[in-house]
Amino acid sequence: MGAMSVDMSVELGGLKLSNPVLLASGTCGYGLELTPFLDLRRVGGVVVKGISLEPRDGNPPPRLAETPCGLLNSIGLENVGAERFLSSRLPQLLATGATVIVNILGSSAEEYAAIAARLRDAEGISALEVNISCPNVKAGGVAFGQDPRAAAQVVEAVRKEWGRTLIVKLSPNVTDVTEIARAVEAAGADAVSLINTLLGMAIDVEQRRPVLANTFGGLSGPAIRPVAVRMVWQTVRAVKIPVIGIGGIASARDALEFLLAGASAVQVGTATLADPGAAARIVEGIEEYMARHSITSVSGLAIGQVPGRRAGARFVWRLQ
Amino acid sequence: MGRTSVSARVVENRPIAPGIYRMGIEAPWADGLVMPGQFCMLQAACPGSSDPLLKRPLSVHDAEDGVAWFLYRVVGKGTGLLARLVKGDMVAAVGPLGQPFPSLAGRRVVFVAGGMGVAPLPLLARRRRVMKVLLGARREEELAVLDVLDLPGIEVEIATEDGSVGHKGLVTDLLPPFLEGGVEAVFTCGPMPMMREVSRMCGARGTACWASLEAAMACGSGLCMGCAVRKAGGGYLHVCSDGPVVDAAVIAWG
Ligand SMILES: Cc1cc2nc3c(=O)[nH]c(=O)nc-3n(C[C@H](O)[C@H](O)[C@H](O)COP(=O)(O)OP(=O)(O)OC[C@H]3O[C@@H](n4cnc5c(N)ncnc54)[C@H](O)[C@@H]3O)c2cc1C
Ligand SMILES: Cc1cc2nc3c(=O)[nH]c(=O)nc-3n(C[C@H](O)[C@H](O)[C@H](O)COP(=O)(O)O)c2cc1C
Repeated sequence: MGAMSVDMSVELGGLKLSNPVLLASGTCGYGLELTPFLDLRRVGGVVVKGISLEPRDGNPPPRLAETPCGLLNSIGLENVGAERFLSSRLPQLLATGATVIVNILGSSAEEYAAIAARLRDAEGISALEVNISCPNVKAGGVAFGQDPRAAAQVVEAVRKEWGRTLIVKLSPNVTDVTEIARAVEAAGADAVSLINTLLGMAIDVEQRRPVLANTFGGLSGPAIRPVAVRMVWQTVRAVKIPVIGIGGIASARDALEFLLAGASAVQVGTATLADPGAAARIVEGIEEYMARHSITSVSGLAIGQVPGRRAGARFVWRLQ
Repeated sequence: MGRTSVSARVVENRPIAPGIYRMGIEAPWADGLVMPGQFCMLQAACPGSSDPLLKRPLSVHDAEDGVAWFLYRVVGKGTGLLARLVKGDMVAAVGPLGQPFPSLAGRRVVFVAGGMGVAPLPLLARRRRVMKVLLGARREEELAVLDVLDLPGIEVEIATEDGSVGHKGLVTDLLPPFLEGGVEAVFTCGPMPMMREVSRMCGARGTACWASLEAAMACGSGLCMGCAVRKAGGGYLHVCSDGPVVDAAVIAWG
């Protein structure tokens, strides 16, 4: 880097991170699988694969289908469950020096609360990220994240059990993402992250059947980035809590789109699957960009805070 | 385990049979570290392009003097772009990955191969892990790769469905004499129906059988849990990290 030193640190609802680039849930395993390729201290934090109270087997294969500049997945939230995560994954992950954020999932508000309570006693977990894109079994399988009331109930239940930073991960499969964002903010979330995958489908035209055994899957990768940037831009302007931008980030340029839109941090997902060192490259690229544009602090990147460009615009929006 | 993610130089890449290429890349692990049956995730380096998005899994075909070799069939976009590479071009490579064939030193091991299932053979031969290969094909043309396989000290028996070379019928027809003769293990790599039958035959005789599995894969390194295969007792294992070589008895072959 040049002569200028840049401040890459950010704060997310009480959680201080060394830089704004996190590894997205479900694309970095339990973190440990990446250590041959990436020093986990180089990224702001590791969001581990979604954990449920009990282990889950996940969906039948095939679970993956590549699409133009995208990936459809129907992993089905396979995970080792809270107990095994705590006993055989978390200690090794903490030993790497990584900042650990645990993504959680459940089928009812009570289940989310129970897993938060179980994780509370474990030392070293910096934050929870609540995945509300899961079906709510008590509401006929409609995802919590598609209903502001159900989303708020989950967040309230988790909030009672969890005093540290609480991030809520929003589903893009809604008409107005800001409505859900405001509901979870009111329910006590410290930050929101978005977007989770977009519901999609691919058909094998020779076999004349859906490619995925589950028929539908979640679309991720560069194909979804413009949708994600738009939703992040809207959400930044709708809530007061920090927003974490996710969706198709594969380079520093891509990450900067989200930071300029007002995101306080970003997560790198599918790009890590294609290139396990992607996140470290992105951190370096952001540092290089800031030096080149003489910007000293990454937290000042948002459009509206960049000197001379739409000064104050972000503030005005928030007051509306 | 010595796995790396690197940009590697292509030392050779040429067609050896219609639609089948052999490619060598410079790899720091290509001497001692890589084990037979392991694979790499490969992608022709196209900076800034995200289509195709993911690397493609290919078995390590051979490894010697710092060069890792791959034998691949051009199937679609990913392998099509690999086929266009020439000496000096760069390829993005993650590996070596996955569980290898077990080392059964001094044991009598038969390898049952079909189609591109021959890919891991030269490295197995180099490490003296196999004594006999049974190779199946539909017709003679599919055996063209055999001419370039360097398999010192290994006998190959052939079965073709049309009888143009060797035994007329399925490769699995060749297996019973070996099972009865008391081979200690069978390795298999190729189409699922062939591996299912090999596994069934070995299971019936109580002969150990290891199969090299394929599944759609995104990362190859245990990050995404995408490459699931159903286990005999329920639940799934992951081809990239529990395999690709697995004890055939643990698979629900369906
Ligand atoms: C562990 C492992 C080792 C392999 N070793 C070899 C080898 O040594 N030589 C060889 O010729 N082939 C091998 N294959 C198969 C090879 O990976 C596929 O042929 C290749 O991915 C096709 O990619 P494509 O873009 O050309 O084809 P497309 O059909 O365009 O691919 C579309 C998508 O489907 C996936 N896909 C397609 N066919 C397969 C397949 N058979 N297995 C897994 N994913 C597939 C691709 O990775 C890609 O994501 C191996 C597969 C695995 C899992
Ligand atoms: C294979 C795979 C598994 C995922 N698993 C989870 C998960 O368990 N929990 C979750 O909240 N998001 C999960 N996601 C969503 C990602 O964290 C991310 O929100 C999404 O993929 C968009 O980002 P990307 O385009 O950078 O991948 C998964 C995504 C993929 C591709």
